[in-house]
Amino acid sequence: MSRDQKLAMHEYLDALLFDEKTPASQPESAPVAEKNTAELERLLAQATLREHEQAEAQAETETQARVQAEQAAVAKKQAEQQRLLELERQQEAEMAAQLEKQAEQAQGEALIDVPPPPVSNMENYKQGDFQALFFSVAGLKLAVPLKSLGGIHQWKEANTIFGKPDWYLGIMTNRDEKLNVVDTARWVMPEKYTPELAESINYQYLIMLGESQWGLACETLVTTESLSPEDVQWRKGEGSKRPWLAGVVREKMCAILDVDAMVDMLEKGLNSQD
Amino acid sequence: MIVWAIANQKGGVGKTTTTVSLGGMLAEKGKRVLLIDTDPHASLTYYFDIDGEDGSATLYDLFMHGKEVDKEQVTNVIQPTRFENLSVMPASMALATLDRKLGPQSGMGLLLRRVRKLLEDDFDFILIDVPPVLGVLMINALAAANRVIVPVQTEFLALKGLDRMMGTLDMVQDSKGLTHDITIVPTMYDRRTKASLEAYQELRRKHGKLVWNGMIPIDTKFRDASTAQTPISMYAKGSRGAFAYKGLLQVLLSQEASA
Ligand SMILES: Nc1ncnc2c1ncn2[C@@H]1O[C@H](COP(=O)(O)OP(=O)(O)OP(=O)(O)O)[C@@H](O)[C@H]1O
Ligand SMILES: [Mg+2]
Repeated sequence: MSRDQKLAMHEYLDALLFDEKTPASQPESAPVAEKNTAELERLLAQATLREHEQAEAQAETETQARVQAEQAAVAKKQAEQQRLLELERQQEAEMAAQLEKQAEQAQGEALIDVPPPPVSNMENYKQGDFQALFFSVAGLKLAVPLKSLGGIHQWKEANTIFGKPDWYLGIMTNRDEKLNVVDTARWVMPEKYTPELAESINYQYLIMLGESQWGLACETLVTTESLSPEDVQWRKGEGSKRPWLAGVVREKMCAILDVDAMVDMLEKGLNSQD
Repeated sequence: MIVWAIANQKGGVGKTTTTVSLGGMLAEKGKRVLLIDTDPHASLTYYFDIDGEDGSATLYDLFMHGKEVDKEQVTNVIQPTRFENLSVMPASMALATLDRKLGPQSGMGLLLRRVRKLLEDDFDFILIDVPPVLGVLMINALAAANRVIVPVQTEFLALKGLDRMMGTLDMVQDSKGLTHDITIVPTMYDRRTKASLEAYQELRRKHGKLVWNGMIPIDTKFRDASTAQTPISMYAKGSRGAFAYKGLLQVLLSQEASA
């Protein structure tokens, strides 16, 4: 745009957006805490002018005012955080309900971008953008590529079977299927799995791995997001110490699962560290 | 109240589709939603089977009332749809004459801002479908909104149109100190074509964090939904398109919460 054109545009905008009473640039309402602070500051300024001699008393007021302002700011921040937390929780629940419903309705078809030729190789994900489901267990965030997601089931108590590894929670029946339930927290981080941790976990869903009968217990479904290969710090392929870990999503510090490798390990009765 | 303007100076990029899809989902969540059609083509108005030319009041009438428009005049223009919580302020062709009729008359860019204020207690969300033309209607939408959502078709030529839109946003922000959050939404993404992928990467490279970390795929269900005059989330819940918009909405809501 030439200078003249720019000038003309500015004139045009200025005219359209000009308003005597409420200049557009003025915020319509300042947050309460800010208003209070401003008011305090105004009062303070007046006091300074009038009462030179009472410097000490004024310093006192000033400190109090500052303390009050700080308290107000802290309270506001806490309220805000609380609100955010609630919103997040609410959204998580909604997302979860939706994912659940879709999984149920379309038996995975809707969740999965295109009816799956099951992707049997993590390499495929390095070729282009892909969608992943993020879920969390005991504060740990994990992700599965949607194409390797076999489905999501609502949590039901599994029937315990004895003589199996401790991370194996048993069999959950869904219609005619028998699903093997993995205690994800215990499998992924056996070293951190204390009785207290165990007590705190509240499993809600079962995330099915690919075409297998293995499912990972999870607490919350966080979101689905599109990732590009550059978003992920990929693990070096063969011979890796943790074949189930395909990589880490950089910005989120969240592990992406190599579903095939994981199923392999589960079949062999191995846990993540074996 | 949260106000989003869905705008791009390029036509046919998915503005109306985005407005209807997000609006539909918000209404399903129980939010009170008003969709304002500022496009003289009135595609959003027709989407909900409302006829802007049947003599009932439209947005055009509000402009004729001028800056001092009152609450009754505003509510008189709003029509319910057959979906709960979802209302429409219809457009009519006459809107196309506004620029000529009003000229850059002082303050006429602030009419929708006034409408927003008058409706503060009546709606939780206002979504404004903006015509692809820089003019008094677009300026009104930008002055009223706290966020501008810019759908961009993932195709090379569309990126040029985006530059123009970003230039306009810059200028409006300079001119009057209006600030917006901006979310660029890649649309009509065709995973099978290299062009789509390249356009997407170019977008991310150039606009970084402003670009939503996802994309709206090409989905024929959008056309079907529009034929059925129903937002996609209610028409084809399990479709890829509905799923993608759901993801977008989630991100937008969390951004609003932290804004
Ligand atoms: N993701 C999509 N996949 C397939 N078709 C789509 C998609 N998004 C929009 N469409 C279709 O593309 C056409 C243009 O979309 P839309 O009307 O939303 O664009 P617009 O930006 O509002 O256009 P205009 O500038 O003319 O107002 C419509 O027929 C719509 O149904
Ligand atoms: Mg349109």
